[in-house]
Amino acid sequence: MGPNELPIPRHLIIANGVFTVVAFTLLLLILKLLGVLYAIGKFTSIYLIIILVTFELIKAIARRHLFESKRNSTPKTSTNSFDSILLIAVSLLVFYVVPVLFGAPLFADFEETLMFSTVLTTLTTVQCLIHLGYKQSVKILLGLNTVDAHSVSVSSVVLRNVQCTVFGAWSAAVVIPLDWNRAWQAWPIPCCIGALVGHVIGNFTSTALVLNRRGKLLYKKHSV
Amino acid sequence: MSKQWYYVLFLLWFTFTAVTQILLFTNGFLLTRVTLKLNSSCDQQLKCDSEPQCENLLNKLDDATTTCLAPRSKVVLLIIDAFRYDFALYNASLSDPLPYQNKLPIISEMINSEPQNTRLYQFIADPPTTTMQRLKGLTTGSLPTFVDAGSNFATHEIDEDNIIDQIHKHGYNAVFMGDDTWDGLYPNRFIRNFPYPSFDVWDLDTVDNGVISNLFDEIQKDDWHLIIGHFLGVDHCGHRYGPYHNEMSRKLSEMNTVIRNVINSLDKESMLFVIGDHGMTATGDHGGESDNEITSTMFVYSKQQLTDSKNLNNYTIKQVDFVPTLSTILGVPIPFSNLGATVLDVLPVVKSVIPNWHKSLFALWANAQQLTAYIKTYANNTRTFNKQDLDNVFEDFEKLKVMMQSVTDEILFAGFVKNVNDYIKNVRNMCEKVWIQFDAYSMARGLLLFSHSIIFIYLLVNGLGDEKFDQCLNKFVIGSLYGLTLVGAIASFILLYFNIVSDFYNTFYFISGLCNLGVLIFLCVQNFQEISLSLNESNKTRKWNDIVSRILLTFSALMLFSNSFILEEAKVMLFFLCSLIVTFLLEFGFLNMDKVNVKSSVKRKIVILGLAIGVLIRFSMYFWKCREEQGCKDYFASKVSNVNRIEWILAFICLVIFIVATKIWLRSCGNLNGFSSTVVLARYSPPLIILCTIGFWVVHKLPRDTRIKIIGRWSPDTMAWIVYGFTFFGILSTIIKPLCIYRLKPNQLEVDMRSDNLIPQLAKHVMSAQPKKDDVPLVFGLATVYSAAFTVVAVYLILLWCLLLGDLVMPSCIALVFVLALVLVISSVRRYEQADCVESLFEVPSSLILFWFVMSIYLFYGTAHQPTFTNIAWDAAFVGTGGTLNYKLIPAALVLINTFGSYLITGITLPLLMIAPFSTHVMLPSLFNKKKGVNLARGELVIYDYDQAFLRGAFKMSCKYIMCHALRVFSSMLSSTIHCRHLMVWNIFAPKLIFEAIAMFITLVSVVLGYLLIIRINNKVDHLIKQLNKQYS
Repeated sequence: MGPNELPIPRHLIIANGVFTVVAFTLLLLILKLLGVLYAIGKFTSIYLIIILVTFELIKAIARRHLFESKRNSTPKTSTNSFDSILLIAVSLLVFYVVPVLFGAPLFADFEETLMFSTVLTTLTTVQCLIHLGYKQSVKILLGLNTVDAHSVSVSSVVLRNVQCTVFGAWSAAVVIPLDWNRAWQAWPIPCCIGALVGHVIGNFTSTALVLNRRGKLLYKKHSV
Repeated sequence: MSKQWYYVLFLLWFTFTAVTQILLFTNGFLLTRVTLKLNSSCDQQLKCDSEPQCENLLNKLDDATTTCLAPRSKVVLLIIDAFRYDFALYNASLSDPLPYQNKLPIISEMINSEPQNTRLYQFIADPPTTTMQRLKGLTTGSLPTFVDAGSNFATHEIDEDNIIDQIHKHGYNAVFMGDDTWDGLYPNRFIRNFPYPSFDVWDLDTVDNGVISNLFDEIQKDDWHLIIGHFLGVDHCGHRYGPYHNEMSRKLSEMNTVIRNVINSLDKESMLFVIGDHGMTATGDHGGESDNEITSTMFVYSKQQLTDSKNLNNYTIKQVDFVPTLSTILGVPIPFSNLGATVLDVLPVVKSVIPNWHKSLFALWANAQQLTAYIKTYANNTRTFNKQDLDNVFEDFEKLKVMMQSVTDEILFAGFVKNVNDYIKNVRNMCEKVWIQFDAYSMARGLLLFSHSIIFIYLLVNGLGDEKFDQCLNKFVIGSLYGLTLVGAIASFILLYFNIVSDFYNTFYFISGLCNLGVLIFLCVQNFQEISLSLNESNKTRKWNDIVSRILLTFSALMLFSNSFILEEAKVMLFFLCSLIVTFLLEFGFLNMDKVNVKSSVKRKIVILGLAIGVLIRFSMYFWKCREEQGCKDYFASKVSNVNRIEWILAFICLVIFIVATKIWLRSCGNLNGFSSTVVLARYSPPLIILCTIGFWVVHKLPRDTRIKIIGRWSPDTMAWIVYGFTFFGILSTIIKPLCIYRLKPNQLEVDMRSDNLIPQLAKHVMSAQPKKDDVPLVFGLATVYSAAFTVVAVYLILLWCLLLGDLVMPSCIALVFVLALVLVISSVRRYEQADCVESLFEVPSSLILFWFVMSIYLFYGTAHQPTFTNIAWDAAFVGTGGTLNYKLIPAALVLINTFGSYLITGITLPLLMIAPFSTHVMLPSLFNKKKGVNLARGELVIYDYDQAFLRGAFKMSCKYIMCHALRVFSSMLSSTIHCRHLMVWNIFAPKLIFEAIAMFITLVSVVLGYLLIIRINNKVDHLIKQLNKQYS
């Protein structure tokens, strides 16, 4: 748990989780039905990024609106636009370089790899920035201060999302080498979808943690 | 006996168990076909010169197999190795033909000018497409089995019935010239024999020139019935340059001239066969079963007219069809185990009183009878075939017999030919389907024993606490393990003696395995409580990175069940390596994955190191080799013939960087001082080795004439032998004197302290026992005494491996070796930071063992290998041997080192995982925080203080590492079993199993060697410290 950070109400986490799960599932379904899901590796799918950012903004605004009006003790998230853009750029670079090191083509699939990097950056770094602000994001991403995974706070939820997103993208690569010759096996479609699904699972886990008994106890302990 | 020897004995026993149980399985899985030593023979000879003999030819059909007709023609048989079908085609419309296209115009000329006398066929070989297997197929007409494929370089006399023997037996004369493989297969069968060495794949001309120089003289003589000329140039050209090189067009044009001249020199009663034994891939290799490899050519030209045929050209026949055809032409019985069908269209027409189709029918029926007799005999001897299938075959044969009675004219005969051919095809298919008969019983025993042994050894090694484990591993247990093995040997010998079992080895493996399993189970039951408690405990304390390791290990085993993952294994392993590196980095607290207490400057350095590792691993991706099935093009396909200057520079730079880096490391450790033989060799031999290595490459790349001009007769192989010599003596000296240290007399101290680069290590506990200050012995390199010996050995092995890998592949090897070193550094930082006492450093994290394991597999792929027989780098066999075949052991060892060097190096250097935190802490102190409780200032001398814990830890680590490999071998075995009727089993799963099994053997041996080296060093250090103590107290 970060410094000066208070646990947030249970219902907020639940609302947040339910919203994410529903919204992301719907998004994936609609994309699939429209037949554009497998174009996720092309620049034409850039609208997806805008939708994802909008989701996060909705969540952040709703949270501030519902939560901060009641308690004023939450510190204002510091916004430093230049540093934030720099962080996003670095994150884009990292998420480009890492898949290349994992075996993606260096330049041959530039468009695809860059789209993957954009999707991951949106789901991790941009999400962090929107919810936590620049300073807190850097601290969390670089592990400069530790967050208690079992506590119920904005940073723990965000962090779990980041971890699950990365894990989802990583584990989805398993289908790429199979010789089934399906359209969705092409880089980076499985990894992008894996990241989105991982993000959903992360939110789901947070909600489930709050809902189960241990979560309740933790919540009570912190909120009293 | 001290504890350490129990560990060694246990490891040796583990090795034995694993090897025997794998062998038990493979003995069932990789069965060879039973060769029947029965021969066909002629009971009567029909000359057919006089009428009465031949008129009733059709009445003798029931004895067709045992009746020989007179020879129809003499045959000149030219075998052009790797003569692919498209080499023979001529397409005048091609404006810019590739080097292999349109180089044999003679074939199309003859087809156009004398269509009645010429035939051209696609000639389909059975896999495996290696020369020796093909020769067997071409002469016996049988299907070779998988295991035969391995014996290409150890030619054996063929004892199955074959056409050469038949010719010899029936008093006809055969002459042979060309590839000396024939000489090994058929010694003393030829009236004249001109063998030429075939082993040097880089030599395009010796064999061909030899054949050409004898061929025409032989044709002029009149005592022969069959002349065989086997040309190797095209095949060797494919191996060396690939089909797209200009050399190929030269060789093919040469063949064109030969064919033209032979046609011109044939007399009226002879015919010419030009056949290929197999094709070649786009890279010039062969051995597999892709279309390019199996599609070869058969070109027939006869001075006599050939039997009329409706489908003249572009007709496909099987390679086994050649034997009955040739037998019929030469008038000898068809070899007993032939499975081919006579090609009636190429039988020359001999003027005689009876219609030609009578003779054809006779030949065809002889073929069908022979085949049926063979199947009948085979089925009686073994239970290979399905009863139902067999009955069907015999029923069909009876039907044909009845049908034959009604064949009275040529039109009916044409229909009958079709029926007989279908029948032969049916029989062949039945054989192909069940030929490889698995011994399910043996396989099941192997699988069960192997899996149970791994599980129980895992339980013992992982589940028992240190002291409990040492208690368990006592004299009694070790004794009973070895004793029961001996009992197994004796028991199986007795069983064999009383004829209760037929096979000694399998029985021995089974009985000893079973007994030893009993001991393991007994131990596990005895310590059941302890094991279950500790496993339960470790389940609770497991962290996320252990889970990641487990996922990766499980997946690396499961992936062997899928052919696409095996094909893409290089990619998967690269992915795993990067995942593990990311895990190592995340352990430093990124993304809040872990709680750590390291400075951000250290973190930055670690990230840079991690990035460097990633880049190095990714760099090696350019050196992957392509499998035939992947259909991709690799770096080497274009590079075999012409090496750029850039590759030379890269190779040179890599070698220099490698030896400079290791030298700087060893020197700053202080391990390069003094005059012990190990140190002197370690100081001076690496530069000499790379000089010789580079010299060898340079000289070998020069064309032969230039080479002789520059260096005269002096062979470049000398340089290779210098490398082997230095490697051998370097390693030998490291084993004899493993301590790279230099003891300074106290009065020398002041002089030497001035020279920098030396980190003198004061043996502190020696000093504490020593009151007088000026008497302190100064020992250079004591702080890295354990790791130095391993480094030195690794340097020798890696340089040797580089020489064998060749200049193209070697940069990747060096890059990956640096990866190994850097990972040791990164993991040491984290391990030190996590450790709460020195003993906890002796527990190597499972993710690190897994990394070493994945790296051993990846190094295999990263150095341009693939688990297929086509992709084995046979070139390595010529390094230093110059293609001489006097000692097959050395070329075999060289190829083995080239292919499995990755497992050798990772296995031997395995103990470095344990030593690394101590050495890096001394050498790179800036990466480590000072910490209470774990004082490593004395470097690896700390290990000596805790040597019992160290040796135990190293033993457990070795066991875990072996178990990772064992798990993979097991899953490879299981997947081969499950997929034994899979389409890809002989292409993918079986080669994979064989490669995994050999890798396992190499790993076992090298891990034991590494462990022995630790014991050796430890004993020497013990000796040294005791000596110092005595001297200064």
